[in-house]
Amino acid sequence: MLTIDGKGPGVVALAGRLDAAESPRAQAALDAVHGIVNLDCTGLEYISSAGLGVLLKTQKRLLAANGKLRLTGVNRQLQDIFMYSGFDQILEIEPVR
Amino acid sequence: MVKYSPGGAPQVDVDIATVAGGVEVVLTDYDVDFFDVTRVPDADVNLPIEQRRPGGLGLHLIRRMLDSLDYRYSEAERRSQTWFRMNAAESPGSGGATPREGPDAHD
Repeated sequence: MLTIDGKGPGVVALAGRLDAAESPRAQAALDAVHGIVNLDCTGLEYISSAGLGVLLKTQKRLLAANGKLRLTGVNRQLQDIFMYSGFDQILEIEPVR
Repeated sequence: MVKYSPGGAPQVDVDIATVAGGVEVVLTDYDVDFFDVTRVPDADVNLPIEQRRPGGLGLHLIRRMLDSLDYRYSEAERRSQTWFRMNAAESPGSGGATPREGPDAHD
C-alpha cells in the first residue's frame, strides 16, 4: 500500500511501500511534477527495484529541464538501498532527522 | 517468478523458516526453465545518470541485503528452488551494515 500526497507546490509525500504493484501509480503522480521537487520519504518504508526505476525516470526528466528530485526524511533501510543501487550518487538525499 | 515465468505452472511455493541465527526463505517454482540467479552479473551502479536505465537492480539488491543466496534446479521435474537467508544480527539498517559481496555460485 502506497500513499501519495501532494502537499503543495513542489512537495510530494510518499508513505508505505513503493513496489512493483504501486510503481505505475507513483510514476503517474511524479510525471505531473516539475522543477525542483521535494519528495518527503518520512513515511516511506520500502522501495523495490521497480520503485527505483520510477525515481530514476523522474530524475532524468527533471534534470533535463533544470529541475531535480530532492529526497527528505530517508530512513536507514532506504539509505542502504540507495547506496547499494548507486542512487545516492544520482539523487540528492537527506537522511531522516 | 510470477513476473518472469508467466508460462510456468501456476503454483509457486514460499516456505519461510527460522534457522539458527536468522531466517530462511525458499521459493519453489514449477515447470520453468533453468535460470541460475546466482550467476546473473551485477548491475553497474556507478554509471552516470545519463547512461542508467530503469530495471536490472532486483537481484543486485537482493545479493547485498542477504547473507546467502542459493539456487537448485531439477531438470527431470523442471523445478527451480531459490534459497534466501538473512542473519538477524546483521540485517541492513540495523547499524553498521556493510554491502555484501555476491554469493558463491552453486552448481
